Amino acid sequence: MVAVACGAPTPPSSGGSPVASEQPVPGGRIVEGSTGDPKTMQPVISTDTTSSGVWSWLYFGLTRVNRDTGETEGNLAVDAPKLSADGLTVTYTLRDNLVWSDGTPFTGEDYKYTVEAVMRSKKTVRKSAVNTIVGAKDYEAGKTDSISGITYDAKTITIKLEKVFCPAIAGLGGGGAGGILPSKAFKTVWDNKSTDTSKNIDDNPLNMNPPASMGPFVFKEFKPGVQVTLTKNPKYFRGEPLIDEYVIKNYADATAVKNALLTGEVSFAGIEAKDYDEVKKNDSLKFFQFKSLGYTYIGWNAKGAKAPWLANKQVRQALWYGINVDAIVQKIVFGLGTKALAHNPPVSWAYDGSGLTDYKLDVAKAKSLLEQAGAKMGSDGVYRWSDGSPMKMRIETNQGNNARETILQLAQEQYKAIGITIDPVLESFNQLLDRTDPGPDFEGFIIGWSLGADPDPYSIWHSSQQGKGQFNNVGYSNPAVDKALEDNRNGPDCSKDARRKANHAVDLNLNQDAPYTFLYSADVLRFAQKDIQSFDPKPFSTASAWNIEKWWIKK
Amino acid sequence: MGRFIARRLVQAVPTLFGILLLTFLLSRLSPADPVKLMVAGNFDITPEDRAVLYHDLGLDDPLPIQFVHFLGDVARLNFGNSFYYHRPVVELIGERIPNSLQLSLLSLLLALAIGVPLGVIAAYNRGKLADHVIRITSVAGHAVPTFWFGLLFVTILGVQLRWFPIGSMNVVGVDCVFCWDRLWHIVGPVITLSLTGIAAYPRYLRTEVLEIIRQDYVRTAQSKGLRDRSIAVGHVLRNSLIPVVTLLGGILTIILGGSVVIERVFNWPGLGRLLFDGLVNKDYPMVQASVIIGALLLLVSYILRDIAYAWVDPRIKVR
Repeated sequence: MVAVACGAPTPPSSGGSPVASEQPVPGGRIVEGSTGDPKTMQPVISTDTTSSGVWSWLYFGLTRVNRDTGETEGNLAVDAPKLSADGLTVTYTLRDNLVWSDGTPFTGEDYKYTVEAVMRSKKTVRKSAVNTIVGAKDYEAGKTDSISGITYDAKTITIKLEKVFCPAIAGLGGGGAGGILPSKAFKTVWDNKSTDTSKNIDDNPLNMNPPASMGPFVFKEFKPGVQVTLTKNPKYFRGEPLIDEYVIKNYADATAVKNALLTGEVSFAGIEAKDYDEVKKNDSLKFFQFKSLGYTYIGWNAKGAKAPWLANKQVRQALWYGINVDAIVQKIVFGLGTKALAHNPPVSWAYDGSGLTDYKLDVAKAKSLLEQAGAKMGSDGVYRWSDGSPMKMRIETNQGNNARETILQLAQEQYKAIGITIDPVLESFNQLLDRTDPGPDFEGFIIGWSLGADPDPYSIWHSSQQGKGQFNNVGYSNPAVDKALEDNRNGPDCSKDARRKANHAVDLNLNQDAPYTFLYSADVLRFAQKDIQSFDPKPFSTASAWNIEKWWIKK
Repeated sequence: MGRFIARRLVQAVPTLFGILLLTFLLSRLSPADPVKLMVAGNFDITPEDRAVLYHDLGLDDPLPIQFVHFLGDVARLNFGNSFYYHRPVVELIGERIPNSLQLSLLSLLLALAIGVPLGVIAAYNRGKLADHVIRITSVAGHAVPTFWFGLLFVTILGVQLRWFPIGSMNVVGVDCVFCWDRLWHIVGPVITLSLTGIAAYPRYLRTEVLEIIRQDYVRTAQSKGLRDRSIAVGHVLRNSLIPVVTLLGGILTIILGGSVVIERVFNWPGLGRLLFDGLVNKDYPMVQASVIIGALLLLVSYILRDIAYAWVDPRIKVR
């Protein structure tokens, strides 16, 4: 027998899903733990994950990221957008009968309003997704009172682009902001049909009091320092959620969230590898593990004034051979992760592992590479660089991050064995970010990247990205990589195959040039209370649970 | 008494002025540029926009003029908007004060209710078992850092035994103040917060009581045939309270300050956590307001302490 009640789920196949014979019971509350209050509940100006953890339940994009593959799929639109042959026209077909929680129909005007709000905002960091739309820059400058490149009718939204920008196609669906705003309500606080650039959506009461929702929940209440409460949206287009309330509760830190998970106060939570054994023992919880879109690495500054040898490719390869990355994966993330060999993580659709060298600990090879590069062993067991200076340098990381601190200790010991002396430096996270701003004043550093679902490593690896505040802080420069990064961005072929090929070229070069010693991608470890049914997180569904309307709580 | 209070209030004015001047100068002379902090994360703020912001905030005025404006703002309790919450700081602080006060007042009462009698008992039983037990517990209590005690409380009684909640003011979905749920939630933080007082009062009181029971007037009272209890309460305790009053001076600030840690450990949405988050988020108006309010609180509690001295020991008024 298959459950057929209103809004009943089709039982998914993986763990934690209900047995087919069980009838979902409506009601109950899901509690999620966060560490901090949302700064805003409006996507245009949102920059932190607590904020997006609230508005992503309310404001949806035309498309969303496929939970398994990371590719773009339909959300408010029926499907992924259609791209014209020249790559310059993007067309979305809307689902039928879309209505906001307040009963207002969803239209192309909501989309256009959101893009215009992004372009006029002075606080947004999201213009790059939409500023290639025809007329967007004129609108931003106040030369027009409307973006000419966005047109719509009852069923479709059509966007004309000035130039091909492949990463933007994934971002266009959210109107640049990530979620589309209810224009009727927001027009009372900011009118988009205007040339007055001094007015914008940045500061208004609706930013903290969302007026309507296209998502599964509606905003109910925000108590600073305590929680945000959302209630179910009966008009949600995928069906009214079975649970009544979704609470995002504020905790002081990750340990408090973990404790709340253990005592059953929080419905589900991600935990760190170090807590895995402790949490696993709790038999009221079920476990989910999946690959993440980020990695941890040791960066080597090729422009470091005190370590000129870092500009040499063989030295950087020696540094990779000189550290036991396999042991790090085992000892630091307890095997709950994957060894990284290049920039794109294996879970990404752009990943192609063929041809990548797997660097394994090899002290003899590391030493021979150093000698080939021109280093000579000194009487004290430390190599001398070609200018006669001992090969001694700093590696910095942020204090309090146990995994990185341990990697630093390990690096210090293991690099000693290949004749390189390391001065470990621990500092605050902000200091680390300040210290490693592009320039000559640092050598090695341990940190990590969290990447977006769309593969666009341009800002990290393109040779043009080495100015103050930019991300190519290791001074990496390779014309072949620059070309591949540009192809990946500007096509004109934005197909998955073409972009995967471009990304593979980037990865192959990075794997050989070794500007970083790539370490590992830690898995996402997630626990949920066993009584929550249909809970089924996937690599790309972390921001908004893809099937929340089907979750129910077994009594 | 009225003149005494008036004089203490007048004396507080220069202190207050000094605090305000210092807070003002520290914020103006610190390398952090408030406009830069305000627009942090905004990529396309033009120099013109910045200039407008400087002007709106009055930051382009000479320092003395800025100080006068600052005094005016403080008098009106206008500390500006929080950079983090984009809401008036005073409003945010106002929302949290009742939460912190619940903790601080209850723990103060608990500390006095337990600490004071223990001190008297220890003194009256000098050298006996009760005295030893109280002294050892008191020293141990003093040595235990409160945050550690709090963490133990959460881990053992909260996570492992589930006797008490691991934090927060209410269970999710319940919102009440005078109810069992709140009482159940407040036990942990109150016990933890009162620990310092419970440990400190007996030590000070014991010494003081021991000195006072040897005084002539106590011996006189005893020889008059007064009952021990009325001597203890009416003669000994009242005169022994001076060190407790000294400890109470600044207690308002100490308890609120101590709760920065305790409120984090017990996930209590009070002033302490607000200040802590303000520091972490570089929420400049929030920190400034907290410093000024904290300083005012200290000033007020010192004045109250002086008044309490005068009440406990009438000779102080004459001096």
